[in-house]
Amino acid sequence: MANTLKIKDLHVSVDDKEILKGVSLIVNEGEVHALMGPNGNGKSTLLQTIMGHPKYIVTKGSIYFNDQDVLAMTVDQRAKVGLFLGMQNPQEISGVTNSDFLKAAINARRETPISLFAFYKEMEGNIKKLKMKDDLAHRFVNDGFSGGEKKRNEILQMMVLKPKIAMLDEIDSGLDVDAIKLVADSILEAKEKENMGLIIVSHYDRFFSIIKPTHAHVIVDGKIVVEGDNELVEKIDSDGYDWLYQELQIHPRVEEKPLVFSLGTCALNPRS
Amino acid sequence: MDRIYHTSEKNELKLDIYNKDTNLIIYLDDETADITYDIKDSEVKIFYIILNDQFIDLKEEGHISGGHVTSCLFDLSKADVHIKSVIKVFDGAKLDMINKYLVTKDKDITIDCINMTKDTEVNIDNSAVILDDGHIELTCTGKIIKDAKRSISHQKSRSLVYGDPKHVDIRPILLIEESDVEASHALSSGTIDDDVLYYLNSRGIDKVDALRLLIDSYLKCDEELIKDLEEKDNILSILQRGLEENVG
Repeated sequence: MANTLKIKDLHVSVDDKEILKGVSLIVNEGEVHALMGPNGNGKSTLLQTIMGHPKYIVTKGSIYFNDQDVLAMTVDQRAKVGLFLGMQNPQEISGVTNSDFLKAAINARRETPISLFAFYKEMEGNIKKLKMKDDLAHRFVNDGFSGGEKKRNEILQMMVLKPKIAMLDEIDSGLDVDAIKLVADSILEAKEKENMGLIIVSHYDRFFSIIKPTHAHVIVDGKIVVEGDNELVEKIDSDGYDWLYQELQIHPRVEEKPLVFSLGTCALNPRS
Repeated sequence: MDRIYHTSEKNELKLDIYNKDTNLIIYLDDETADITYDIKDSEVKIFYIILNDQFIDLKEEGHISGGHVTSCLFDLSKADVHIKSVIKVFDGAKLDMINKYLVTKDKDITIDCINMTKDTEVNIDNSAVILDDGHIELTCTGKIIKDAKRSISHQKSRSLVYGDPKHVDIRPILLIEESDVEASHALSSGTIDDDVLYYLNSRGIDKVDALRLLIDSYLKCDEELIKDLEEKDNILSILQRGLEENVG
């Protein structure tokens, strides 16, 4: 059976505020879906909701993966059936090494634990492919990593865990030009190998020009307002979103910036 | 050659070690243990492993002159534990103390490490994970007495709290009577971050295994420390069992 993720009329709220207002999307294995739109309009919310972040409350709609009700699953169950989210801001977990973390993740999917030999072979092969530091296995998860290293580490996890549908949230941010090519090529290789379906959030045409999405969706104010293919990605890259707002008579949600305030000073220089 | 002791066989131990490098593995499997040692010019590693799941009352008194002692206590037991340690360090000796506690019962621990003469060094590293119903009072004192010039006394304590512990009281104390010294203490305490749990879950690791992974990161035995021990596998399996029995 072909792996399919079906999202229907999804409404999602955060802190009683509706962020997604009826999103429907079907992603089949082997397809590459570009998810575009201005910041703060629901792209990351959609991906986090699919993965099951407890902060995002589904008020209406459904998510099915191969006829299994995703919304009824815990987060780890969603991962075990084959969903993966490469996060925009991966967590730093001091004290837990990458190898212990990945071994636990692999073993969670197996009846018997993976042999050390097979594990290190798999891990080291992918570390080389992504041109990461040799000592990665023994470093703590994302602890002291640069932005680019964190993103590569997300892709490393994807390559090792071999999901059926991988969602990548701004996985190219923080990467330099060479790294974008390397990461994009690695994603494509993994996709071909596993016939993975991909949902990719990115603001950069450079990344999409390598990945070549088969489908594109633009989310504005919690709704998919236009869909297309790679041509739509190219048009948005060259013209931005204004033409869409005018054509469809819509307004993007303006991203709310958190209030910054001073807690005061904890010490005064007596000489000043 | 490792020396292995079980307090169920003999709960009063008096150990004199002079000019000898060795490892002492002391399994605390009786309710009481009264341990004194006098170590001179030796490289010694001491491992205390708590095996009794009911109650432990450990009194430890140590004298270290010259040489280097590494003292490690692992308590991943379900026992109520009462520990009173007083270690005095003389004549350029160095003490590294590493203590790990998984707290699901009552733990009442007092540690006094005293730099008695000049050029001595004490480094203490306490880690505790406190779970539901856990109760810990840990008072750890590093003391440098007058004229113990150029001595060093550092200590750090870190604790991770998860669930609903009864009581957490960790006090790092420094008593410094000499000015020409180096000393510090640090304490950190935190809870398990929901976003970290979510991140682990999102990779397929369920809640119990995620907690184990995080707790293990606090309490893990540094394998470098025990790599040469004949008892290495036994110690690791005891610690693993303690973790599994207490978490989930």
